Amino acid sequence: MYAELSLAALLPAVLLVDLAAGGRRQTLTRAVSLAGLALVGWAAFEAPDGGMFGGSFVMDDLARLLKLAGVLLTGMAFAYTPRDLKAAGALRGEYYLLGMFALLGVFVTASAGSLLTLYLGLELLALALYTLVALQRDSARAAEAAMKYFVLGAIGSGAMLYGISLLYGLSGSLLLAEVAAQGGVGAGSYVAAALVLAGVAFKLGAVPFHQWVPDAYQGPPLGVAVVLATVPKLAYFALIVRLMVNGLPAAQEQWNLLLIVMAVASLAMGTIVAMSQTHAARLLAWAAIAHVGFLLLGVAAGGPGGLSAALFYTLVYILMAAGAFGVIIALERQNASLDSLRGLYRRHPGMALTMLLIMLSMIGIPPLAGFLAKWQILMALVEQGMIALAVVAAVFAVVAAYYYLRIIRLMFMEAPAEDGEGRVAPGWGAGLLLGANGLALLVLGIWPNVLLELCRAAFAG
Amino acid sequence: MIGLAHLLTLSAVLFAIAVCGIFINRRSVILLLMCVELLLLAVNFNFVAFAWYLGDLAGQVFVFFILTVAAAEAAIGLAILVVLFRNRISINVDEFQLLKG
Repeated sequence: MYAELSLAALLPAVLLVDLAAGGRRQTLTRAVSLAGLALVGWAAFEAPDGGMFGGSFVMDDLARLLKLAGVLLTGMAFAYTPRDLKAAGALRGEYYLLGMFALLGVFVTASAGSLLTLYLGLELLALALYTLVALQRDSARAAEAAMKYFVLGAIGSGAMLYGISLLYGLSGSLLLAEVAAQGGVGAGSYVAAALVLAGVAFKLGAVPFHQWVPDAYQGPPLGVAVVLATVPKLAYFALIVRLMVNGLPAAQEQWNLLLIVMAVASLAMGTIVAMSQTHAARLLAWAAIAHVGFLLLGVAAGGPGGLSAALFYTLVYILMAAGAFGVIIALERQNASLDSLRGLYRRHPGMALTMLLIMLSMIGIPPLAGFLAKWQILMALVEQGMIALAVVAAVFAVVAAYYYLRIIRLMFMEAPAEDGEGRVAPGWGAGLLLGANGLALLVLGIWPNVLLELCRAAFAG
Repeated sequence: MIGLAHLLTLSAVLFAIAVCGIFINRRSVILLLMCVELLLLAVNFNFVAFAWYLGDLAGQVFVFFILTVAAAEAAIGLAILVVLFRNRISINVDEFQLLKG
């Protein structure tokens, strides 16, 4: 709880600092934000297990891991983005403020023990994200993306809320533990499960509710897209676990079927459409849809094995996504087409090698972390006897290599475009962090045990 | 006598109208925002009906939270709408074509 309180206290403090600095000294706002985030991370790490407010708020291993990952990823996003946002004319104190509001939403969702806290956490996250996407006020693209995201997100929230109201009516309680205990088997609970699942799919951007994802990634500046692509995924994972897996165990057979259909559709559509993309953020968006499909397969496999594999996949994926966006941001192009990666190795070998690590990890080449994440999910599927699904997932993982390899070929095999725009200067801080981000994928792939054990501990109880 | 089933049917009808409104509407973004509000009100109706049926206050409390969030959501929606209008001088849904592919 102290982590949430200190984050909530940090928000007005950052606002005041930004105000006092006259909105000019963004470095000061950023420094205060990062220092505050470090404190919040420490508070989340030290928080003892247990429930509060009659079980509406729970702290457990899962919540702690998700919160720490959220703090880390938000800090990384803040470190990668200033140049990009400044170039877009959107570097204002609100960026840090809204990013941390979103983080607070992630915190509340991760610790949700009742339908009410779950809903409030998700809305806090969603409202902050809608505003972030619209941050670049003079851009028609950003405004259009924000509007699409807002309307589709609102429909998703509405559908999920309707399902939540049915769950409340069926069980007579808002506490997730009691919803799970009294949730019967019957038409009502199936409808509720389907509506809730539709809402979850909207949030995650799983097919057939994925239309907003590419637009929301491409419309705003990349500095916003990197937040959008990483931090919220943690909350949505918590949402699936708390609401679907723990809250609706009675109807699991029914919703699992829907989940598998959505997962395979996401894998197929994300992988195939990503091949024809020429815009870097859009490609990453379609790839994200495919990754979500993979992640959902882990949830569908179920049990501690499947869920911890899905959690590991989520954590590794957002690390890869943050790095990939970080490199593209470092290219300093306003509307980053894939061509801006052309000949990157000659322009900035360090960035190119970092991107190489990230892309190989996204494909799933051993010994990188991405391979282990995919392997865990496939093993969980095989253990549950879902061998056909494992084969389908493996096939799409191989097909997906096409567009990642295309990026690698652009960086290493082709000469830079001769338009004098060869300069790549990520700044020493962001550059070092990006390198560390790429190396972390290698280290996690070779020594995964610490993180794997943490993921398993989250579902051991 | 009006029973739970009547109330739930009404809320389902409201929900359906809202969803249809969002997907059929091809004109103004304002209408989209109104449909989003209707969607949340349908859910509120459900909560109140269940709270009344179960004799439980938690459902009514939830409604207050939803109303508050809906107000914040409407504020953000309208703010985005203003930004959109300033940049495009139009709030026509059909003209959402900058982002494609």
